[in-house]
Amino acid sequence: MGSYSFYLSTLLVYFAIDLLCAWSLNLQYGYAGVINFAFIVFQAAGAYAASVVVLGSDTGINSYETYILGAKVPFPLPLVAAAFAGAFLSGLVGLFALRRIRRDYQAAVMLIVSLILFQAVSADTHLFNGSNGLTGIAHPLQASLGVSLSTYQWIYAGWVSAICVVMYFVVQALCRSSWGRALKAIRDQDDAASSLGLNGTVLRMQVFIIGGAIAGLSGGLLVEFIGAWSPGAWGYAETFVIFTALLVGGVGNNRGMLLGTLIVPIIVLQVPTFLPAFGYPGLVDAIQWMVIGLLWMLFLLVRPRGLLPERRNIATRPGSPLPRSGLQGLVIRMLTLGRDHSVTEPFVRSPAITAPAPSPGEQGEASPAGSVAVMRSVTGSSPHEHVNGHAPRPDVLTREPVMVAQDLVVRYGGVAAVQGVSLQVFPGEIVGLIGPNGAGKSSLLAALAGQLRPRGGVIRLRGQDVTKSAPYARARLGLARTFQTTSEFPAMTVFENLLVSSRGATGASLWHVAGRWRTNRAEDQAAEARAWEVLDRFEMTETANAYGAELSGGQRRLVEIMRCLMRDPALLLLDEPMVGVAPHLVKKISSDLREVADEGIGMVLVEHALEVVSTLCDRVVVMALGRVIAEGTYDEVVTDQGVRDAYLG
Amino acid sequence: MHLFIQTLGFGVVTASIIAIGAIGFTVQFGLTNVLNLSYGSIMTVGAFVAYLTESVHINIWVGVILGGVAGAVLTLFIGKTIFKYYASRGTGLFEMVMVTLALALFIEYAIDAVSRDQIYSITFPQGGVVTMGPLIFTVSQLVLVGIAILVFALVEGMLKLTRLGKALRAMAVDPRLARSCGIPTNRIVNATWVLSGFLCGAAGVVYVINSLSVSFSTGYDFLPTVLAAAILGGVGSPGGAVLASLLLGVVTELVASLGGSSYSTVAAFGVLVVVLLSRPSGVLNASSRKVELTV
Repeated sequence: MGSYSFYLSTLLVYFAIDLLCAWSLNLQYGYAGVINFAFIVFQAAGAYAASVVVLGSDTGINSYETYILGAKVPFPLPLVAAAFAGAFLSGLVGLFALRRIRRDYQAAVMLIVSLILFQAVSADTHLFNGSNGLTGIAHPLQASLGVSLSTYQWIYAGWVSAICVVMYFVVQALCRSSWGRALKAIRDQDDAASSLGLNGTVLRMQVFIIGGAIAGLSGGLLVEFIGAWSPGAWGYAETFVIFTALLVGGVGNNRGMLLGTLIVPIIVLQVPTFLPAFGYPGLVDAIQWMVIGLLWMLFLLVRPRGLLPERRNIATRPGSPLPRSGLQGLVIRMLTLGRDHSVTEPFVRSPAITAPAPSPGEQGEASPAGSVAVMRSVTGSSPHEHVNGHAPRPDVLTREPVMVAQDLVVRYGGVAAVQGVSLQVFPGEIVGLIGPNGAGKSSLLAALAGQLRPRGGVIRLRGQDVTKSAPYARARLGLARTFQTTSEFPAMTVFENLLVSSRGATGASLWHVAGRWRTNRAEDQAAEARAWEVLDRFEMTETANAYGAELSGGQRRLVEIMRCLMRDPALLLLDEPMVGVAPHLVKKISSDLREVADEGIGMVLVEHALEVVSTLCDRVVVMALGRVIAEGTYDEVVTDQGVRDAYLG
Repeated sequence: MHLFIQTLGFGVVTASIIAIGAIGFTVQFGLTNVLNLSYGSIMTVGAFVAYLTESVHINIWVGVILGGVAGAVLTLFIGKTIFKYYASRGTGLFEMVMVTLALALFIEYAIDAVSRDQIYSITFPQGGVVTMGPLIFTVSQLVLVGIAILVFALVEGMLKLTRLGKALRAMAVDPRLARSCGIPTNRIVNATWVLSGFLCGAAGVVYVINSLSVSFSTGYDFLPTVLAAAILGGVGSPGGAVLASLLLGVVTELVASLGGSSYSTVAAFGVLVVVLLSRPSGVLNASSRKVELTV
């Protein structure tokens, strides 16, 4: 039994350490979409850091090894050093490796980084004793505890497991927070996330550094257990063991990591050691790697999201007496409106997803006390009604333009897409932007949104010069936009889509998450309440828990618009919002947009569907070949000869 | 000064070795958009073919052709079966990289198993020594440079002057449009696998002609530099790959001559990192145009 005990405690230690690695990689890859193919390097950094602060300087008894630094630091400080080393190296690597580049390039870059560092450390003996590595790292506290080795191993296993338990709660808290949501947003649609005020660069850096710290910690724990560390322990292929655990267990699912880590590093890699040795030494290792490769390929084909895929976060209305757990609860929540506090509300479809309402002037349901009243005339005969509870903004009264663009020039290489265009948008007005293909409309919109840097000209948003600002900065100043191809976050529920767009301190900030338990609770709840409000207004309440990818085209467009409204924007840019939307929904969305504008939000609408432009827009600007050729009301512009020649035919 | 010119000379030799692999990679990646990390294992296969031809006393330069053929056959097989199958199941760009990586692991360790985890050495007559001013080369080094120049000329000529080349370039830009123009896309893709596979296998042979030792990890020692050259030079551009190879080759030799031979490859990657830092919207920008797999 003795040797089994030894083996089991060793296995437990490896399991716990690999679990830490899996959670760390899950944060980076599963949640934020960062393809960290250099993961093992950060574990190595932690291991080396812990070693050199335990071994003391490399003269004297350790003079057979050469390495940098050197100190004799008491337990548990080496682990702190390890985590810090992982975080620090991640910061350095992240500075150039985390740029927004094609994902397959990013994978290659990370792999190359892993190989560079491996070669550098192996070659230079002054750093960490080259390919021989470091040895003689004592088990922490073993001497002072005075127990046998096998008992010590169990104590160590307990210590590492305790760290794991704490880390599980930390990682879960991070994943469930607004920060975690923001990570998923930048993973799914980086451009859309920027347009909602999320700074992808900063977020990616944060998750990379935090993941690096956990990786470093795992390295410190590992080296204090094994007692030695050399490049042989951190070849680039080790990263793939963790990735395989992720793939098998379930990307984005922290509990799935338990399964994946059990199956891959433990069972697949440990079981062969029980087999009788056959062939030449090293054959079993080679076959192990072949099996890992095959496992990868199999899972990528059959179950790309793993055995336990990412869980759907169900949102329920506060105060709802509906069952919240289990399959029954799930079904009921998805079927009922939730707007109403009675349990037996029959399933009512929103007008948004059925045939148009038959009788003109029909009102929406009267709402019970406590919900926002929603009254709307479906045919749009009086499109300028105010909606209760949304007062006009102060800007409307002063008539300062929300946005001023002067002499904008946008070039793609040698082609001038926009040549000296000036545009002003006032609060509460809807400006239509029409013109033939290639006129520069989308380029103009992209320049206004910050996706393209103009070569010349100035853009002012609410008085501030934003010509050189990034999209997320403009979003924080009150700009919101929709995209030509709907940009809903497909792997997040509609409710999460709205939450991630919320403004103010409840936006995705790591500091906010840290202070979550006290002052920011109220803000979180306010954001959720607002999300339910917005859902009610657009009659999308029962889609609250549907994934973005499960919605129809018109619903996706509504989600985009709802997201924009969550931010209380001053200016809304819409790029062909009616593309792919059924005609009855076009009417509904048009009237929704009119209401939104009446609350004081300025809009620029690029559209080809001229019926929409004629009913919706207060003013129309016509572009052709990069210039404005006409401006005025729809009727004026449509009768202009120049416009007829260029566009209307 | 002498030393500097000699270093340049060695740099050209190193560059020639990198260039053959880089041209093959860039053509393959440029057309198919598969960032094929199993390219390294095919290079290893080529390297072992070189070892085998040498051990049965066939001329090593014939081994270059044989290695190329082996690479071509293997790559064609992988492309038409594995890559095509995954692509038909809707695998995305990045997931495809993972597939190639898994495949790379599989092939690399299969070679490891078969080769019994040993390092094999190659010996063959290096030919005489040729002096050109301060530059001293062996004949086989000059032959390597000659092969690289020939490969570049042939590939560029094919791309610019033949119908196949024109079709390839069209497909690389817009595969759907090319398909609807009547370009036989399947045949072009097959031709690409064959061409790039040939260059890949040949690159493996050429590498061990210079390094004189073969093991299961040979391809992977070499792949990062090839990858760096292809990406630096701009994907799909053989000329760019050659220029990038020259840059990397010279930098590698320069660092080695200054005494840091163990850091020479690190220096080469340092070049890649510097480029990445200074040209953030250069070759690696996240273009909004949807990039597709063309297999």
